[in-house]
Amino acid sequence: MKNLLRFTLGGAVLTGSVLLLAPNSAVGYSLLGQQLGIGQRDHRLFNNFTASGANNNTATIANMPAYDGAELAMWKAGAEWGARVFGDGTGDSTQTQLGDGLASFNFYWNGNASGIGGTNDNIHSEIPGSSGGVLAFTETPIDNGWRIRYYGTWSWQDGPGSVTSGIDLQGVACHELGHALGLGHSTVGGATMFPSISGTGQVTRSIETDDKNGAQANYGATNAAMPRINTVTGSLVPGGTVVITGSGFTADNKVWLDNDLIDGGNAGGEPFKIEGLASTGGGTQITFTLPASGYVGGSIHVKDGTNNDFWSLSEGHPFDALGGPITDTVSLTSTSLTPPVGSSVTFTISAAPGFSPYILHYAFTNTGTTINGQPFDIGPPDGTVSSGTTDILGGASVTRIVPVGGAGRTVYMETQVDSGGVTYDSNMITLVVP
Amino acid sequence: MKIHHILIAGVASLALVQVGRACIEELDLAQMVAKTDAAVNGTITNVRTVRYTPPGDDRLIYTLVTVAGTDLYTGQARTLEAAFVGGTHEGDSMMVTSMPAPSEYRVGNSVILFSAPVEGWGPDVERCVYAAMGGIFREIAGKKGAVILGKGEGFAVSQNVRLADLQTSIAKEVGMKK
Repeated sequence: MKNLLRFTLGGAVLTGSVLLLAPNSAVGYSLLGQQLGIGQRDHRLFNNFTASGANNNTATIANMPAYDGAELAMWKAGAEWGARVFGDGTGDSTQTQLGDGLASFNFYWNGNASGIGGTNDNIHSEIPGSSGGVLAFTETPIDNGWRIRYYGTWSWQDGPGSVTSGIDLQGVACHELGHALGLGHSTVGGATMFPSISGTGQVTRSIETDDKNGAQANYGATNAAMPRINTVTGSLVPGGTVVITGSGFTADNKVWLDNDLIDGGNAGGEPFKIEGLASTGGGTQITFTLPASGYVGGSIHVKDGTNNDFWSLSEGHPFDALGGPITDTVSLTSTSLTPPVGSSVTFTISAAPGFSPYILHYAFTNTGTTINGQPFDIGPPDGTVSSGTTDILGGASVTRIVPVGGAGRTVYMETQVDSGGVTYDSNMITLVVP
Repeated sequence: MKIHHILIAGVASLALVQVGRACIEELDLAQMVAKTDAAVNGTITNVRTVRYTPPGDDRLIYTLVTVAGTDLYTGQARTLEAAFVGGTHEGDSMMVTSMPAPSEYRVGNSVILFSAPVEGWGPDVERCVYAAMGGIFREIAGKKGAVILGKGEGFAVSQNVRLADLQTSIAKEVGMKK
């Protein structure tokens, strides 16, 4: 009797634990117990995939402009979790529409990153080494951001249509982004959040009812007040006037565009924001002017200007516009901007592509110049302060003694970094030597 | 008997909902045997962590689990150390969705651990727990002998099964592998 009682109590305790942890029998999803706030909705890709199939799709699509290959696969994977249809819903021939989440949640695609980033920078990337039977994983906890890694030993495929061999990047990304938004695994076979993937994994591109139920349990069903974009019209060039029509716009709105920053840190996840936009037409229209630079084509979202609830960011909409030249993506700082002759000054480069050659130029004019087709703020360089290779995080530093000949002069400095056939520039700093 | 079944089901369900979160290969027993070269049934005698930074990448933390027992592929006694990504090393935590639940790899647990060699995991790691959370299964005492707790559809041990029966199934798969 004593043993039986102990056994029963043990069973009761265990059953109690199960009741606390497991979803009831009507649902299969599980939750991690965390949510992504509005400031963590971005996702980017450091495109270091080595499989040839991961980036062999060179066709862009009208509903998701400006990206192809692995970038497009990632973008579509995030769009699938969106509260509403992305644009007109087209772009993936394997499912009827993109954007099925029905929850008060939208991811925000922000293009490329220049590194794998930190554990909270919301970046997808490949990881080297044996997979050991794991396709990909998400680093948690997610409430202040996440990072997703895909093992490079798999033959990743970017689609965009049906994938018949290898592993479908979009499908696995859709699963991992489900973790990123706070879902655990589902016990429902066929759900995107089912723990294992058979075949190519393509079937997981499209989220199922159980996945939607999980997203809604974490963020609530799509709030009727969530801003909605129906159309984007106007002149999509720098200085052009753009008109957004839709619903749920308020007296204070923000427009979020893909940022041209690609650094590996948090700053690169920030959208390009145009703020303080009042709606007209009873909350159905927003008009704004495109700036000269700072954004790139891709997607556009409307954000409630004052409310930061889960539902305050609209679903995405295609925005096929190119901003001005992408500049100043690298950061350059100096320990002093007025260093006296003979003093030591340290220059720090950051947010550059990793393991890439850099040149720290100086010039005595700031009339602007072009190097390898990239506009620089300094005049034609008069010399080089330092050159070398950035570290894994895209940083470098150099210390120099201010020479006697610099007395009384103004010197302009700017960094050039070359990576993947592209030249990047930094902000310009101005040194005034007493 | 009935209570006994409830207990096992409870433990199994608990294990199922506590396993990590990641995308792993779907592996039935035959596929798991085909992709691994060891399946040690025994007791976890040690758990340690190491930190390793692959060239050109960020730091990783691996948890290494030592199991002492019998290799079900050979029938020979074997002590094996195998790793999975994730863990806490000297206060530095790397929590990833592919990790098994902590309750699964405690020292003293009886388990079956499927393992294979790995490359590129650093100087301290030669073998992995194959499929991470999908490669370690708890063993509990049952009325008719030891029972291995299954983890559901898509896992090499999907349902609760007597150890003796699983040994037979594994032996059959190993025979076919040869």
